[in-house]
Amino acid sequence: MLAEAGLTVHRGETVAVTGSSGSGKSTLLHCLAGILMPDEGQVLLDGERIDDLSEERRTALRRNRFGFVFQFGQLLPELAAVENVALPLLLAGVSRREAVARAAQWFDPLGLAGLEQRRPGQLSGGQEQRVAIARALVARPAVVFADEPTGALDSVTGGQTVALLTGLARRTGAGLVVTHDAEVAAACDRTIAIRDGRTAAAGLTGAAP
Amino acid sequence: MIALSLRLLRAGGRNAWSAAGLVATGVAVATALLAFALGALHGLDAREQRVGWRTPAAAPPGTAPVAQLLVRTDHVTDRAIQQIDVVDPRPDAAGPPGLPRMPLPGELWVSPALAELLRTVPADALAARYPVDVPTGVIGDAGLLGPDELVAVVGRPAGDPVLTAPERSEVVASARSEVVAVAGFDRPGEGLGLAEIYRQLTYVALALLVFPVASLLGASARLSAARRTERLATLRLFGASRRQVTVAAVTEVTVVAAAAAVLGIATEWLLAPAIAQISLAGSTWFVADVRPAPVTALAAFACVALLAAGSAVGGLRRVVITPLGVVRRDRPQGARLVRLLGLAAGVAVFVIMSQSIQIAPSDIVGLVFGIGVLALFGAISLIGPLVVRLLGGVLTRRARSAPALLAGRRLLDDPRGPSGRWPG
Repeated sequence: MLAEAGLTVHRGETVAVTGSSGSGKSTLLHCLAGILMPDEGQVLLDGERIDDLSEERRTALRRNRFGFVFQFGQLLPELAAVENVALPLLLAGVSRREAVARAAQWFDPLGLAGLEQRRPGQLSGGQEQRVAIARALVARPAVVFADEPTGALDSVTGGQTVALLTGLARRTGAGLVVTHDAEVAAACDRTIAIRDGRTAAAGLTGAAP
Repeated sequence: MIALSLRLLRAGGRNAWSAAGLVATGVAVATALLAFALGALHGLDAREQRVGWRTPAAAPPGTAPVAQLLVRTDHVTDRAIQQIDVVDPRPDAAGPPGLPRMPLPGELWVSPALAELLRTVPADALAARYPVDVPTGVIGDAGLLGPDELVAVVGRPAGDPVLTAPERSEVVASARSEVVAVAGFDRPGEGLGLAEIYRQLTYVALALLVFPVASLLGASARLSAARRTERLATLRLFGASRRQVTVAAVTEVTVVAAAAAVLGIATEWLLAPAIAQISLAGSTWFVADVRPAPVTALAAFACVALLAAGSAVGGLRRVVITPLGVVRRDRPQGARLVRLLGLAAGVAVFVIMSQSIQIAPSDIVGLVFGIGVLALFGAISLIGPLVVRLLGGVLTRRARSAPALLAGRRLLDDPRGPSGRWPG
């Protein structure tokens, strides 16, 4: 349940949303990403409301302007790593050849070179998360949403992963990271704390409209 | 999206392949049974085309007959021989199917199996019955029930004394008179013979097979549903539209069903030589007879594929897969009026069809009964979820153990699942 929850994320910025389990941080992310519809309030993207869009248009928004990274990657085990990365492009109607070619370009920068044809089951946890990050970024989204992206990783791998994620998210657009991990939050530009469904500014430039 | 769905299906791994294999086996068996029934119908039709002239219809008044026929059954070594005496034939008229020309008085045409018997059985036990020792020729396949049928076509002059006092044999074909004047051999026969009864039974069997096939296809949609739902939810999360998700689900189910349908039809085709050895009405079958015609096989394949696609669409219509992987029901599972109306309509059709059997023409009795059976099964499938829901409610209220409570809750939650298997 959310109440009086609000935040603004600027282009080129990454924001961490922190809070205890059940505080509503994931629900906030789902509302901002068009996965859930808030009962009240507004969600704006580049000044335009997206919370009142049809289900079809919100789907298109997720496909074309948003990227997602989740705790357990949510890679499709049936597809090779490079095909998983290409998935958003394939869903957008890009030809398989082009989608895979564009997806493959992300493997070297993310330290995944040579793992393109591996299935998710053949990757380590850290590698899986980096594939998920590549998938989130491959369509050059305006916003990358990450929900506990390091929750299943050890601290070293987690630190590397979040550094990669925030760095790339800043370059392609903006990033919103939901986490209960202070180290992950510290890697973001600012932090918004959420408690009992209410947001409170924290960190460097906390802002809640 | 179709290409991606096929890729996901192909790369599904061991569990997915096991599930698909089980489903495919079931659908293949059901399709093979369907193909057997269709093959039987094809065989019965083919037989009637070839030997219908042996149950002759009298030439219409004012039509010049080409011959008079006496059809009777003879026996040798416990085997039946069908003997057709062609009396007073018109030499310039076309002969019966399987013969190159009209048999003339004094000629004997025999089937290959009878020709073989004539060579092996002592002459006084068989050959002495016929006007000549050596047959004039052999009847071709176009005039036979099957490869081992014993048939003799004997040409006789008008007034041949044998016709008036048949010995060792019984007249089988003519109810009005022993000798029937016919206007030709290309007319269908008349009367409800054993083959016709089998044909009617085959119609009923076909109707009975429709629901098991549909039930197996429904099972195919449910068997791998959990994994598929998870996968479709992931696709939804990353921006797949409802249409794309529907295409993915339909592709997955239909491809497996279509492949299984091909396998089922191929199985029937391969087993046809063995099926052809089953003797019916005094003869085994030509192999080509018991294989459904290509158009029929194609239609059976298309029906199974369409049923599979319909089953997948129906399954998705009832639920909405959200990006978070939550499968929620689109509509409450209450007793909808349309179900009750459907039930009433199904029962009404069954009753009407049951009554119609008494007055229906003999050649569509099986079809009428088959439609009635289909309507009844349709009614059962409509009322099934309501009954299961009722039972689930009773079980939940009276449950005294955890398993009973779980079972009751599951029945309440998904009454369509168990009830969908009843008709099958």
